[in-house]
Amino acid sequence: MMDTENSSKKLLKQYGILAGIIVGLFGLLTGIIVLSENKWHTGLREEIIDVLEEKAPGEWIVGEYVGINAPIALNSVCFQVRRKDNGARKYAVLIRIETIYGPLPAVFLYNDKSVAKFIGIAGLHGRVQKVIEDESDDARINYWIKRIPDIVRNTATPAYSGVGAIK
Amino acid sequence: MNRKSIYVYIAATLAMVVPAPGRFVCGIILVLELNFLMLVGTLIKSFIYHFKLQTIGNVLLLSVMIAATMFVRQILVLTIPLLAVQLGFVIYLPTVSSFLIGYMFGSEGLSLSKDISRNMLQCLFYSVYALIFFLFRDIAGFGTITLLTRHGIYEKVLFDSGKISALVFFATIPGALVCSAVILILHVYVINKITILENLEHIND
Repeated sequence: MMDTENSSKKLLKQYGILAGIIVGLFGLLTGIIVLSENKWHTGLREEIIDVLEEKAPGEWIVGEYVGINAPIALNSVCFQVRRKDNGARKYAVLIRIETIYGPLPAVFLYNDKSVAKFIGIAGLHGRVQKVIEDESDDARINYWIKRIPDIVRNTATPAYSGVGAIK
Repeated sequence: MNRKSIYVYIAATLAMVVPAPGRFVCGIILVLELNFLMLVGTLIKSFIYHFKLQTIGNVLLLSVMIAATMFVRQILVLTIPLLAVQLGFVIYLPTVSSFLIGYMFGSEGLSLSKDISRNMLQCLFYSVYALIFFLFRDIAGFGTITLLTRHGIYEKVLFDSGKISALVFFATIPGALVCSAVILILHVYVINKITILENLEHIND
């Protein structure tokens, strides 16, 4: 009887320790996730600005962050962008795409009056960048060009209805 | 280097290194993560044996390892968010690799200091191997060198982007497979030579 009682107490103590550690880890992770949320947006916004400035210097202003309501949000971000000369507005999407060179962060521009356009790869220069950007019919990039409209439709704000759409 | 450790290297390379982008900076992050996970795992295992928590040992170890991986990802989000996007699921691969699991459950009964020195030494050998792999792919394949700095990623283009070389193959996933085989052969060759020299020294003594 005493043995069973001791054994139960021991087990209860062990599972108590386990539950305590798991709750502690959960709290720690929740804290760091909340802390890092702002940096996630600002850091990736800077990367989108760099790519747009490189491909079309002085043409675009990157605006507000737009939340994506889909699991893909873990590997992507969406921002509103506005063209400086005519005020045309679009969405800039930075998303991780699988290529033959491994996963790379690609930047696309889209509004609902036109098809999505591949702009470039963030943080990549040199010959591989040239190979990817020169290859106009890459199946993986074409796949994401088709997917981007669905992703933008799942954002927190509705897609632009072609205000000053780019020709 | 025995046959078992060669198999561990092959499995670990296929699981952790080949799917990752072949940039040196990605290699640095993955190697740091692997070492951190090995240290955390070894300490937790020692904690389990010290406090006789074997009943909940496996669940506790796995919970802490998963939390440690998520912690690494969030640190990456805080410091270099672009790498967090680029690496994506690759960050979670070291946690489930045979390398980490194999060393984590293969040294029961050792003291904490012996356990740490044994596991970290193995991790260090593999880290050197992985870093050589990433450095070669970055320079030969991508024609660049990428480093971690206080301000994020530093990238220097080494070769003229206008000249497309056949070496671009090493930047691809099939190129990574070929590259891993070549580096593994060289690695095994060097380790075996060192072992032969050590054995000769023992005989001479």
